[in-house]
Amino acid sequence: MVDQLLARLKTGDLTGLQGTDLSIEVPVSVTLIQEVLDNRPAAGPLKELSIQLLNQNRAIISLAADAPVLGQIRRELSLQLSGEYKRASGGLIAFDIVDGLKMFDKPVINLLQGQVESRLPDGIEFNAKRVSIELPKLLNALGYGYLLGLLAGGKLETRNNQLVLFLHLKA
Amino acid sequence: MEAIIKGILERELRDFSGTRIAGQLVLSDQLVNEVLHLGIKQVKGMTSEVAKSAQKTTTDAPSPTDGLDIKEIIDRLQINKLEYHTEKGQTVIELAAGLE
Repeated sequence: MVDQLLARLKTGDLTGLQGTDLSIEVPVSVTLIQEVLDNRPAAGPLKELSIQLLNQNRAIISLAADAPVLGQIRRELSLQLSGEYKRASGGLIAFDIVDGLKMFDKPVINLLQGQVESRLPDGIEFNAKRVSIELPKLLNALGYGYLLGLLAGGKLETRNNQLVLFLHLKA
Repeated sequence: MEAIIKGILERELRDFSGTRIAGQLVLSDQLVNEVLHLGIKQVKGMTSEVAKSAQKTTTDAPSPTDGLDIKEIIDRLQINKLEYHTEKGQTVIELAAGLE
């Protein structure tokens, strides 16, 4: 029965669910996130990429990248997470780069942007200031677009060694 | 992707420790009826497929890393509340569950 219900939902027809109201909290370990990052295609400008997740919505990205003219650069970027998505008003979830970029890095990152972005799913954008996530676009790109009619809200938080996904499904 | 799923299973879903789901799922009678009919249609389809393939001697067992098995997840789920009741024209399932 669960399979049939899922098959019906995947058609995008959500009628018959009115009154449904579910809150979902899914912590994801930094171990798993690092495995996903390590699984990226070997080609491309990013040679090393690791992440630390900290309390209070902070994260640190350590990277080594091949940059035009400069050769290989290594940086440790401090990120601050903010924002949330609400069905009524929309909204972006963003990791702002608050520290770690050097004076001439921004043009370099802008140069790399196209190469990195083309490997990211639609809905995730990257530039010299921030990594932003547009949840509806991302769900569509990942094949979960049929859930959009149920998605009343969504946000991310970081805790030590965890990225936590909060979803509110309401019909 | 296969290696990532293998890692998740080897760590016994501890990557998602602390997962919580709470609230209610409401299904109208019309939706339940649609799902029932869909189920019957699929069972009939499976029955004819089984008849067609009865002569085949080889079977390909699914790899444990083909995907996350829903049964594996349910096995590890701690269910604090699971209550079913019906109201006029609808079925309501109230639940609170999580992964420790």
